[in-house]
Parts: sequence; structure tokens; C-alpha cells
Amino acid sequence: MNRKLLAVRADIAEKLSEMAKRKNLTLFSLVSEALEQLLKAENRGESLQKICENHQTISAARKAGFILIPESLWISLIEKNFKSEGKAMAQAWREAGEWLGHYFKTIDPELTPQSLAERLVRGILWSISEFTVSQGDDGTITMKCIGFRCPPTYTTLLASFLTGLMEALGYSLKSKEISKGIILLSFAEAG
Amino acid sequence: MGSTKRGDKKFVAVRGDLLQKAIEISNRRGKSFYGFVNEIFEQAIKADEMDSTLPEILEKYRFIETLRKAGAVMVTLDLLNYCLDRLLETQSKSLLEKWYEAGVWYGKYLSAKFENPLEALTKTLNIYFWEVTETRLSSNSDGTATLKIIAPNQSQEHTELLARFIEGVVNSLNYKVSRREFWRGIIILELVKRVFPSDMESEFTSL
Repeated sequence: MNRKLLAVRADIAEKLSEMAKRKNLTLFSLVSEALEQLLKAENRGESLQKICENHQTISAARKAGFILIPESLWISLIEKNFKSEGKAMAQAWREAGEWLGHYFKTIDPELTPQSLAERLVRGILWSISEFTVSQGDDGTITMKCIGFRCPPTYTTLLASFLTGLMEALGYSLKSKEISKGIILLSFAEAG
Repeated sequence: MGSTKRGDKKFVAVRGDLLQKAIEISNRRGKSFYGFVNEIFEQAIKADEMDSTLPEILEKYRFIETLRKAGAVMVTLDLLNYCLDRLLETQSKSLLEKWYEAGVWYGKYLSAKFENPLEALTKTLNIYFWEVTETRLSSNSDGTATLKIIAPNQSQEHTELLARFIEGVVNSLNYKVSRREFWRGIIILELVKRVFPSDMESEFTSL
């Protein structure tokens, strides 16, 4: 087999070496496996980094008590309960957002609020098909979300989640506009 | 070993063909190759820190994407249980029907996406679905198959809903449930492959 030498940061090479020993693998096979996975991801038009990031986000969401169910079932449950329980449901989603905000602030303190919000929307809020987040000169953060299939009830819950997330990151809600499948939120740094 | 500084480099041996392809990818992205490979290996280290491996993460990602495209959503379990328990008191029949229909649709989706949809079902259930901690599919000598699902935290009512969902899936995959048992958190289904599709079966059996 044709072998070549590759320069790697020494601290990374050492960690890989330790890993290989622990797993009873050669460094050569461990490194080759990582490159093979890179190629697999690329062949499917994906980035390995994004896939790993996504895995971390979903693992965190599971720790926060998130699970998967078919959207049609979820929407029918919300629709039937929202009238009498809407307030409590919105509060539960807000708390879930808060928990994830605190979690990521702890494990990855360098993440900006914008990149964390993007990561969570992409990673777990799958009903949102379009999402933009921007920061104004005055520090205000604006989020725009569109989820064509979301009824007003579910849209309200998603907005509560994002509000909870931003509160955990030290931002308070400045304004909100919510209509069926559309969320516009702006946040100011809490004083 | 302990005195390594972040700027220091070491050489590792890799397969030449993989190296060549990785160089092409980094060129396509306009990144320095050195920075690019370090990022890749950092991902392998992170995966290890999460008690996983890159192949496992890629496999899970594939199934998660399948579920996402099938219209699954992530919701908080507490809230799901809360909503379900309120409705189960008064509308259990219609909930069971809805769960069954959702299962039928999901089965059709798996058939369209995978060569072995039954195996894909067990993998997607195993990886992330609704509190399931263990799924086993085994073939029996008489040609039947047994599907066992364990979700230890589920109540009796929620187990029944999950069982209906699974029955919907296997029926649309052209299996008949010949034996069905469930207790709180445990579902056992014995499956027989249908000779005819379910909607034609009654016509043929009556002939």
C-alpha cells in the first residue's frame, strides 16, 4: 500500500496516538479511518465538521429531554392542547431553550449567540426552513425564522424556545412579531 | 511528550490515495491543507471525547437525516407526555388511529428510501425514536420474524401508542402481525410476510 507522510500539529498527533493505543489500533489505521470518513461525507455533499457539530447539538438536545416524533402527530397534539395549556407549553419550551443556552455556554464558551442560535435551529428545530440572525451596530440581535408548515400554535412555541435560549446567553427580548410560520424577534443585551 | 507546543508539527503516515483526495477537497475549499487536516483530526478526537467514533457519527447522521426528511420533529419529552396524558383520558381511540396512520406513512417512506426497510426501521428506532433503548429483529426458523422493542420509561398507554405506530409501519412494509404482546415499556411483535398486499389479502383469502 502506498504510504505518505503528513504533517500534523504535534498536540493533535499525540492525542491521536493515545487514542490509537487505547483502541488497540495503529496510528496509521486511525488516521486513515478519519480521512475515509471525510471522503464519505464529501461524496454525499456534506462537511465532516458540520456533521460532527450536528451530532454534538443533537446529543445536547437529548440530554435536555428532546426526543423525535412525527411532525403530524406533534402538531395534532399541540392543536388539541394549546387552547387550555398554551401558557404552560410555551413556558416549557422557553425552559428547554434556556437549558440548551446554558449548556452550550458551559461546554463551548467561545460560541457567539448568533452561531449558537444557527446551530440549534439547523440541528434540532427542523420545522424552521429559513433562518437568519444578524447583529446591529447597537448590539441588537435580530432573528427571522420561516417555517411554512408550522401552525400559529407551534410557531409560538418555537419563538418561546428562541427567547429562552437568548435569555440564557444574556439577552432580553426587545420586540417580537409572530404569525403563522413566521417569527421576527429582536434582543438587546441584558443590562 | 508533555513539552509539545501548539505550533510544533509531527509527521504521521497515511494512505497515499486518501491523502491525494483530501488535498483535492482542501484545494476545492480554498483552505491550507495543513489547517484542513488538523480540523479533520480534531473532529476524530472530539468524537472520541463524546464516546463515539467518526463512522458511528456518520451512520447516525444518515439516519437522523432520513427521519428529518420523513417529517420528524424534536420535541421535549415532558411536554409530549403531558399533552398525551391529557388527551388519552378522553381521546385514546383517535390517538391510536393517528399513531397507526403515522406508522403506515413512515413505513412507506422507509420502503422508498431503503433496500431493507425493516432493518432501517430497527436502526432508526434504536438510534433516536421516542425513548426506545433497545430494538431487536430476529428471523425465526418457521419463516416469521420477531421484533422486540424496549422503552423502559414509557407508561402502559404510551407503549400502546408506540405499538400501534410500529404496527402501522410493519403493515405498510407488507408484514402481518401474527402475534402481538406488550407490557409497560416492552413490545413484542411476531411478523409474517404477506403473500398479497394487505388491501388485496381479504379478497384472495375469501376465494
